Amino acid sequence: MTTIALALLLSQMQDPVFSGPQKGEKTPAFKVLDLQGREVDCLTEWKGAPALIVFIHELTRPSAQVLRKLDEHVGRREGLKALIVLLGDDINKNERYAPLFQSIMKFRGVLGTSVDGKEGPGAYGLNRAVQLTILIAKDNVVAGNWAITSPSDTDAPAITKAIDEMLGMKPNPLEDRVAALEKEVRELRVLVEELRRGQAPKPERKLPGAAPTDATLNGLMRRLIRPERTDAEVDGVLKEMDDYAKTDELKKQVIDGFVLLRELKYGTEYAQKKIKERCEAAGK
Amino acid sequence: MILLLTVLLQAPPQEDVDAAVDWGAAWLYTQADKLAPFGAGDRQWRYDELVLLTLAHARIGAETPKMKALIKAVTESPIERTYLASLQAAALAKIDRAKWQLRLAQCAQFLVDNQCRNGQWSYGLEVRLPVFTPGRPKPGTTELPRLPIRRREWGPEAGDNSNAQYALLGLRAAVESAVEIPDEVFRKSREWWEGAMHSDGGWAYLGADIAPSRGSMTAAAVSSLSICNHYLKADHKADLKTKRGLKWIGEHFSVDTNPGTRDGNTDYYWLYGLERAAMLYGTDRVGSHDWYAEGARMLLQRQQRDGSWSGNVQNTCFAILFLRRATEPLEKMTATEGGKK
Repeated sequence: MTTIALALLLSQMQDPVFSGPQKGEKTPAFKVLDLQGREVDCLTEWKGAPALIVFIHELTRPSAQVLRKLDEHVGRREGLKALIVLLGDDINKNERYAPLFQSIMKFRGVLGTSVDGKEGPGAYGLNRAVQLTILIAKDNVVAGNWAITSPSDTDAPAITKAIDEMLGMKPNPLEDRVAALEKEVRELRVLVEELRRGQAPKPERKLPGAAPTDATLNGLMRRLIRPERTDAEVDGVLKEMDDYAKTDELKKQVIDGFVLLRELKYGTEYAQKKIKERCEAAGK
Repeated sequence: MILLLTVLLQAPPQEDVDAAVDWGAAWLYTQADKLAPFGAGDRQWRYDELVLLTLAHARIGAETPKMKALIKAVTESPIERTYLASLQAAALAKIDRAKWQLRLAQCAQFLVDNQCRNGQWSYGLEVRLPVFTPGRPKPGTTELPRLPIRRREWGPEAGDNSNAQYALLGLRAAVESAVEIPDEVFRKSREWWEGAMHSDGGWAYLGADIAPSRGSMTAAAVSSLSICNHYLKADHKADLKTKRGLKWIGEHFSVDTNPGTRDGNTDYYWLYGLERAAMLYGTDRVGSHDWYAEGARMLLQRQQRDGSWSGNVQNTCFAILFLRRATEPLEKMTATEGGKK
């Protein structure tokens, strides 16, 4: 018990993770390779315009989801610049990978490959232990910093809120509602597709035999296949059917019905066994 | 000729309806252990609750192996989706409301805490559910003990009308099982439905006039307004917007397709919605249409030889629920042990 309590305490006392310049510090200029392989210096080019700068240390599905949400926000904010930097030791590999990544993510901002390897620009002091380092800056001064070790759904809303604050925007419930509806529409599309696949009329199976057209026999057969029937009740219903079906026509309907039920496997295991026996006895 | 027309316009004989339900239930029962979740993210969906509700209405005993397995799966899963919580509540109330009253209260708590601030419901987010303790029955009666629910939080700002109608279906099942729902829940919902009516007298999925009115959503409004008004002790039959919705349905009536849609994906969903609207409002006719006779005739024609409707679990459930007229009318109900009302 003491050990668990100590472990819990220690886990809560862990130092916060830092990566990159902190709020109020400068964002020094640095170069990246763009998708055409040219060296570009976005921060100098943007002359202090409000910017979102993301360093991708490790690309995972959750980190991609955070990136997608941030990029959607960039698309909604006029004048907001965005730079997404792929970090990695193998610059050539990253350079080859970047166009593929862009074709999937379709970033509105600039996607670049770090020319400084996995550590990123030296002046930034990035932490390799995180998955994403996200900075927002205005006038080349950091207005927010997030060092994310395990990205989740809650990350993007906090960052987009801080971006809006940096841009001097007031919260806009209508815009939030539109964003929520857009998300919902995307999810509904997935669901509708699934449902459509399930709903697509399936060609009706060709089944042997037939349900009895005689109402009494049909009723008896329905009683026979009820899943709550006891073995004795199944025997009782079979006897009622025998007693009722005295003419050749009715006997034929009984056998046709059994052939159908054998195929459909309706009824309890005992009922299915009896149905099978009856079919075999009738040479079916 | 007139005699022939009269026969053609009548509902199918009860014996034929019972046969259709029995064959449909037999098919559904074979599917009950093959149900797999589908969809993605917040929209992950499963059929267990809907199948359980349907089989219960098809009078398949709760002690049969697959019903037992379904009940176990449903009652031992976390409650985290509006549709599923609502269908679960309706199913458990049908099966044995006294035995499952505490679980019904949890479903109700989930629904109350997930109501959107605008009165709708969305797909729902898991909430921390209290463990309810059994109350004491009123001495000398068989009435179930009352279990009051309080709102602890709100859902998102807004939702949709489909989730909203199912949430009220679930809450109704809870109320009938002596779970007390705050009036405010029904009041907020009623406000939403009243405000969301289109100028043509119909309703759409989200509520804004940007989308055309649909049969399924207008039926949702009629049944939801009926439930809200009933529990708020207003005369649900006298409500003008409810009547306007029924008029819209009557004017656009079809049992073949969901009025206002063309893709055919929601036709059975619409039929079950129509059944709820007409049963809850309490009418045999919608406009000039005998809604049950027309729907039942169509369903009997469309049933496949294996008993299913298009070999599809959801369609078969909605068809059986329609044929069984599964929704109890709104009338004075007293939740008693072992009884339905």
